[in-house]
Amino acid sequence: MTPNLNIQPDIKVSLKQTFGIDSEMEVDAFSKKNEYVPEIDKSYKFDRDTTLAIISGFAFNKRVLVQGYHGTGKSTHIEQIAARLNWPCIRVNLDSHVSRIDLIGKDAIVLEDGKQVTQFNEGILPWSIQNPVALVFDEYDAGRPDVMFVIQRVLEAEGNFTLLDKNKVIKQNKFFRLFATSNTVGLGDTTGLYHGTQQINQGQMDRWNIVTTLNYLSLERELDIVLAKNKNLNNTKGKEKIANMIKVASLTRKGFVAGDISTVMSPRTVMHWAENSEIFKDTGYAFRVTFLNKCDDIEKNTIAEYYQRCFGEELPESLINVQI
Amino acid sequence: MSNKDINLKEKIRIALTSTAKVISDDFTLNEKYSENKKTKSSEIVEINDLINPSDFIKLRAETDCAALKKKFSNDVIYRKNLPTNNSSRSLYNIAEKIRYESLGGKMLKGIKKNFTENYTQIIKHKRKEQLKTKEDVPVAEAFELYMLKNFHQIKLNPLTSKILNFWENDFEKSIDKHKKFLQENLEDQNNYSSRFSEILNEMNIFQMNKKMKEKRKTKIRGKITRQMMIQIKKLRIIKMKIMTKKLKLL
Repeated sequence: MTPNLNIQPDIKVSLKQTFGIDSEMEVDAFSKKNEYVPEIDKSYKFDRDTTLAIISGFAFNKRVLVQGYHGTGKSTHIEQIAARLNWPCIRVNLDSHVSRIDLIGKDAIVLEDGKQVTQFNEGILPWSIQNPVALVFDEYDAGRPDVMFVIQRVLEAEGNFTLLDKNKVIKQNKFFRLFATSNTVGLGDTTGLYHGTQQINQGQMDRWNIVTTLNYLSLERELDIVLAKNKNLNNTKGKEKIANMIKVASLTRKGFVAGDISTVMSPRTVMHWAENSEIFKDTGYAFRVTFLNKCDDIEKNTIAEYYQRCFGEELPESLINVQI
Repeated sequence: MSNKDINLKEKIRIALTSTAKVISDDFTLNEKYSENKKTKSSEIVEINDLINPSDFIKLRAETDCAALKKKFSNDVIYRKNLPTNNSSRSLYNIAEKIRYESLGGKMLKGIKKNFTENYTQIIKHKRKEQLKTKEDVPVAEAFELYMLKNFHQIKLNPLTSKILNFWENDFEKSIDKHKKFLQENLEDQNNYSSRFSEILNEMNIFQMNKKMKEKRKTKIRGKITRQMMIQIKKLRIIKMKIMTKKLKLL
């Protein structure tokens, strides 16, 4: 990894101007961009509540956990805020294969003056702690319980990190920030949607200062987001088409809650559907390849009915096509 | 019934019940469905008569209608504005049904299509043996056609247009001036149904309808009497013939 970044915030950014949120709050930011700062997505639409929670994490050094259904833009939300603050941001996917040494570091054999020597290479966690970066743990609830305890100490804002392998105590950088995203709130998955997620130790959950939820948005908000990504559909016909797509997604979400179907359409799927419909120039076919083919065979007739109600058109999976 | 048929009907039942649930936002519909099945309530989706695709269209429309009733029709408001007169009640029910069906059509275009297709089919298959005077057309039947034409924009065929013609002027006299208000208040059940209740109370067609019914009864009674007289005459002739035969034999 790059040696320590010797930078610190040098400007203030207005929430109103940068994020379009009605607030007088100002937040520290960096005037210069570096290799760790994500690219700005100009079409990204910020959700007020989630933005306020994440901003408070940056401004007041709070540990923020963003929870919500898949495909709602939790990680992207953090990334886009960091991008606008020029704050270096690193995302780590905490799947069940991420081990303790991946985070802390490990001994490696390196060449020094032509000789092979064993040297401890710091992992992403010690490096991040010592730098002004925003570290984002994605799929926080999928992490292995033993690995999660490594994070426990850094969850405290003033917490130093003891690197046993080097007999070294690492002090947190004043501008180190920690965020995480998860599908559950750490109580396990009751829906069956998020296989592989774990219950999170309550002692650890307690250390998160702010837990915000980003779930499915209103039709208007979702429409804005999908249109922002598919500008060529930003006309009357295109808007009607996207609105109908979101209505189908909304019916699948209700169908899931009712226990009738087991696959849910996320806003991300709607976005992919819109893109695919432009590629294939066929909304029905695009729906089948984007979503329907991922569903259980016995649920396809039901989903085809949902589609018929929103578009007024039949899919090949529709029961009306079955010879009675 | 073959296993294939049973499977298909089960698939249809699952798909339509789930669709009704997500439209109505009533996720307990399935339990109610099962309960109703025992009591044979009119609310359930009956899948017994499924012979051709038009039956499926009918089933779809009926399920959508039931789901929309759950979503948009408040029973307390419905009862509050329910007219006391029996004839008015049947018209009030039609007006309320058209209201929540219109809302459903505005919400999802597929629902609108399902209603249009189903009503078009109903209109197409309508038959009338006798259609000479106003007395041959029940007011509820004509009123439904009037509402379909004006609120669902359903195209009537020559027969249904003729059916409606007998009553259209009466309806227009009472409803035309309120049409805009009713269209604008589809989402406000209380405004819509209370106005309809007022309209129905003020309508004099029910008086006319009563008279017509009486007239029809008298007409039928007269017809029966005439037929009876002929029969009696015939019987008398037969009796006379038998008597003559008997006398001859003696």
